[in-house]
Amino acid sequence: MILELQNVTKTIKGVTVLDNISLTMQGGRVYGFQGKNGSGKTMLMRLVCGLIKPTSGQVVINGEILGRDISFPRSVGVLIENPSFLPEYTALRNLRLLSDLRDHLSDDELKAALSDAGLDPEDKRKYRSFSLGMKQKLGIAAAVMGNPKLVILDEPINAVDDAGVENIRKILMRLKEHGSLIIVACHDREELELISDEILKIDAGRIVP
Amino acid sequence: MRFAQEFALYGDNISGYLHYPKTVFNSSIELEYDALPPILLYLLFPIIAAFPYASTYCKDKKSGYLKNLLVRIDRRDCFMAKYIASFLSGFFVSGVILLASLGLTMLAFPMLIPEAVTQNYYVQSGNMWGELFYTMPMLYTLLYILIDMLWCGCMASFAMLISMFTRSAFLAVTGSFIVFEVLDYVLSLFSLSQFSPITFLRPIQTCDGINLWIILTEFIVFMAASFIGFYFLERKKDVF
Repeated sequence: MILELQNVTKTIKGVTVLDNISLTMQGGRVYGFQGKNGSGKTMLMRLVCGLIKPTSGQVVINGEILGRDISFPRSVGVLIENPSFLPEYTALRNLRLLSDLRDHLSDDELKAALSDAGLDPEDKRKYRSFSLGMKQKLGIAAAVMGNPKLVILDEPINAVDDAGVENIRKILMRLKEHGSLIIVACHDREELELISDEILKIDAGRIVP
Repeated sequence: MRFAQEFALYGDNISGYLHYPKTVFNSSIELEYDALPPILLYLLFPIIAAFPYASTYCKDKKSGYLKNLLVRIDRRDCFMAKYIASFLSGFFVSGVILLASLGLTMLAFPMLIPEAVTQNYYVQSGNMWGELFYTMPMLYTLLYILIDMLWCGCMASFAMLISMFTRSAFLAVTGSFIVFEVLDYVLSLFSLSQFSPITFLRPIQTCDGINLWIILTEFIVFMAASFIGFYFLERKKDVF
């Protein structure tokens, strides 16, 4: 997995939120993005997973141009901002629905993803009754189920307890060994340094040294 | 009870009224004229059609669930599926209401072939398919129900177009209703009510000049507008 951002600029209503960013990222590594609120971290993540299109420049994933050759990365797991699932379904059923759209994972694989994230796969409670931390864990489980080649996590440890944070570290290490390219944005600098192979600082839409 | 009330109301002056019975073709909700339920039903059809599905796109946008979908399936497939689902939800929800009403009425009233001379039917022989009504009334009713179902599908699809501009589920569901009611009001000001879907969807055809070409042409125009807007324009927008 090689992800290239080539002179990517994004302007929204006259405001430049990403400014001429060029980056190359490879599989088997964890890239931590650090920056103030509104610096462009989340926007960069949205751009990499095809949710928004660059105003200029391009995102190339394994030689395919995002938005032209593919509308989203072929194997991607995403948790951007708040996790969102169908409130009337259980965690397992929510994962099964999403998995049926693309990966067609077995029940065992889905249950393993839930267990890894620290959730009980047999829990019959509906998503609407989940606590904030449980919702976040389900968001992590959805992002990493099926071991995607590209994992994008925006503030993954939000509202997660210490045991949950440890689970997330283990998941990221496993995915890294599996060869996945992992992009993480996190406000906790220590945590980011702990899990990242490389930390990229972003300020006012630019990568800064 | 109703018989007793009518008898009390009309007294001895019952000529031509009690001699001709209520039948399926002047009693089912589609073919009643002056009762409140059919007036309300046809007035609220844009909301009823949009209610089951049209708000889901707004909710998906607002909650962020749309992101879950767009990183797993192609945008074209996702938006096409939503468009088709909205059409089918409007199509079937109206079909269930109209066919259930017809079926239940058939359980209670006879299916007499309508006779225009009795003046107990509201479809005029000069209306679109008027002669069909007085020869094969069930075929007329079913054809009109099919038109209503197609149009309710269209109204639900149109609600998807409206949901492009709002994150409010309430507006997405009621927007189509507002547009069609305003259109109905404006057309009535110019005595062009035959062009208003709210008017021409009623099988009893409450104004003259309704014909199949008007119904089909407007159907195609509204479907095309909602398809172009939702499928071609909305799917190209950024998702935040």
